[in-house]
Amino acid sequence: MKTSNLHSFFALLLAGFALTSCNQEGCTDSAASNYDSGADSDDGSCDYDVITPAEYVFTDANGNNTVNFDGQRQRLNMLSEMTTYLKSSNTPGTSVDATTLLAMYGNDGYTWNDDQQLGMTGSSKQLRSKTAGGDTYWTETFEGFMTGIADASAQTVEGETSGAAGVSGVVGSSTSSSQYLQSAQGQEWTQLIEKGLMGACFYYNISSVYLASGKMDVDNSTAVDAADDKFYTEMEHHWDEAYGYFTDATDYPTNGANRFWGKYADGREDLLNSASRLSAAFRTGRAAISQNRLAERDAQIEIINRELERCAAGTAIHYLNDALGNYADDALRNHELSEAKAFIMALQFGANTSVNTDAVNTLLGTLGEDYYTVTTAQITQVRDDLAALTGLTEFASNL
Amino acid sequence: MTFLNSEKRPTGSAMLPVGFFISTLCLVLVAAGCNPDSDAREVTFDRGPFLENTVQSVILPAYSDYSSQCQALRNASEQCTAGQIDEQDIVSLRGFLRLTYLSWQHAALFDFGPAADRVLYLTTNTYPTDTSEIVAEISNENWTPGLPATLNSIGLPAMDYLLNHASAGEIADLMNSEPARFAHFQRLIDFLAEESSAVLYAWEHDFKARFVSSTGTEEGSSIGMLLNAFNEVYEQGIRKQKLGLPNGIMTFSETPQPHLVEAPFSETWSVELMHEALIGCENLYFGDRMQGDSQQIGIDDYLKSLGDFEYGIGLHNEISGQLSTAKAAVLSMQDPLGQYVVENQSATYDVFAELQSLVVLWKVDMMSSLGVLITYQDNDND
Repeated sequence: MKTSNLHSFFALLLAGFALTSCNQEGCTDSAASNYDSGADSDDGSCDYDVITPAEYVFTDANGNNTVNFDGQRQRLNMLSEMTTYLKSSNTPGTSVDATTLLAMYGNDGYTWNDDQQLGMTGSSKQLRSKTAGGDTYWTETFEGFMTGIADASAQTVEGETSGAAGVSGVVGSSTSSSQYLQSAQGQEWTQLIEKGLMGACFYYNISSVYLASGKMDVDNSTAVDAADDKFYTEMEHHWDEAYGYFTDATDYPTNGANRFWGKYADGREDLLNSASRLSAAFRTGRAAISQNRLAERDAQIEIINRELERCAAGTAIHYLNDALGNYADDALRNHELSEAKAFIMALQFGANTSVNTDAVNTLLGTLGEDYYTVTTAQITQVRDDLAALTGLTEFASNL
Repeated sequence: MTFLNSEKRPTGSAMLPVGFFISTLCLVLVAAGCNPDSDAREVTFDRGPFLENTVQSVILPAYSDYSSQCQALRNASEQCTAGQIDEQDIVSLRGFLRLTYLSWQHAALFDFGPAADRVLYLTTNTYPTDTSEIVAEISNENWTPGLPATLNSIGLPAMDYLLNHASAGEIADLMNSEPARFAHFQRLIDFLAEESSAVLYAWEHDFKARFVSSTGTEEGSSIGMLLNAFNEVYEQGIRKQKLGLPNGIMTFSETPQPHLVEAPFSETWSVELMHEALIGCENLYFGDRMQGDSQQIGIDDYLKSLGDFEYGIGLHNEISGQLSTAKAAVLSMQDPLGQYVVENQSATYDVFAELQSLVVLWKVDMMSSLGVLITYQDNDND
């Protein structure tokens, strides 16, 4: 090797050392989204993506659990118990009692089964006060459904058991073993109450209360009461309350796909990805709050509001299509139209206003009140109008 | 050192070759490890032309024929002079009704999209029909066909009753002595003619483009809707309703139910209609009306594109052979089918077995070969 070549070799070697040891500024944290592997001096520019955990589990810096939605779980369990009680009236000769239903609704003197021992009996939690913010028009509407089903179920005890066009009572399916207590017009109170409260109570509180500015423009720096194990900030807690109205399972959709919004989002997963999008948005938004990334939080609120609306509208459309499929079967058609009505009603309670109260009333007016004399043209028009309002036209005949 | 500082190090890219190599290696490993069947079931079949041909050569002709036959029957009824209907008029109307019934067997297979929106399947051919309800509705001026409560007293079965429940001369006399009876017959065919042309219109003006452009196989895709509707109509509407219920094999008591046959009052159409329904299935399967003797792209070509395997060409050969067997078996029965199922119940069980074989080939084997999910509910046991 010639000397000159040796010189070049060492010069290159030296250059190589200099390259790795010289001062270049940038983000040096490999966990950051703008990590600069060439930088060897951190300039404070590191930017981090919100890290979304696989489950809805969040802790503070000391590892304390910060998630609590016990109040929401109580209300979900109340509606589960009430629904079970309502459905008992689908057996002819079994009545449900109006006083009992009203006591359940207002959690006023009713003794719950409370399988999970949450202290529901006598607790301050109730469905009634949380129905559309306690708006009397809506609470009276639901109380009207409750007295309606109580009266009709009492008639089946007195022997007027069979429902038909113009006669309230239990209607049996001609193609399956299903039977449902329905009004003289084929409307099913149980569905109007259960799915109706999913809208007026759960959806309303998620979208129009807890994820709205009044509950989001709050403190996010200090634990509410660490001495009382409330390690969450006020903002974190409000987010958790919204989540608890969607599902009370931290590992959704592994669990929690069995009732209410968790169930119907899961049902719309194949075509609309409702469950995965909602679950991810709730987890990402909560993580963003814990990292005080409020722009990211707001982006997730937008997703949640949009996806809940698509889920509610998609589920209504799904039931309208089912009603067409079972058009000749009075029990199933009426049952499915009652579900569709309740999900359409729910749409007015969200922060997204693609289907506002006027639009809901127009859609329900098109459907008409009597499900025994509804035409296929009415059903398809409601379906197609609703799909157009919510951007679901391409799915309208498949949902 | 300044020159070193000014020399930008290509951050990241220095790592690229190794990273690229590793990720490529991973991809190869994943592909080899997780998908052993991919070479065997490589689908090169282009579903776009298949859907296009199915619409042009099968679905639209089926609806067009059916709609034309409805119109022809309607025209024939309008040629009759109310109050002066004679035996020959009734014979003529019967001939048109038979052709309408036959053409319906083809259109019945596409119970999705525009047909499902109007519940065409139920409004056209719900049977057994309720004859006392038909009679009661004759004089009802506010009668609205198509509402749920009318489904078992309208459509082809109601017209089979009104035209066929007695001799042609007796029917003519009845229609003359009770003008509302003939007027009701005209209301029935008016309704069918309007419904059939509405569905044809919807296919031609909107749904066809959507149908042809959805070329996937997922739930809600065109091929998913088409094959689910086909399988459901074949399994429930043909195998079960045309034979499995009337011959008793699908009832708890296994007692023949002669009144459950299709077009029972005709006494001569039931077997022919069942056979025609199989021809409708055959047309859809082969993508034309020539049992595969053409270049039209059908489900048969889809299966053949999967190659020389038991789920490809082998399955196609089985289906093709079983279709011929089933058609011949159906033709071995004789009308009146209601009488035949009573007198030859065990022979009809053999025919049913041939129809059942096609359920297995189509619903189980074909659907899994094509990767299309069955999404309809089987109501037999719930």
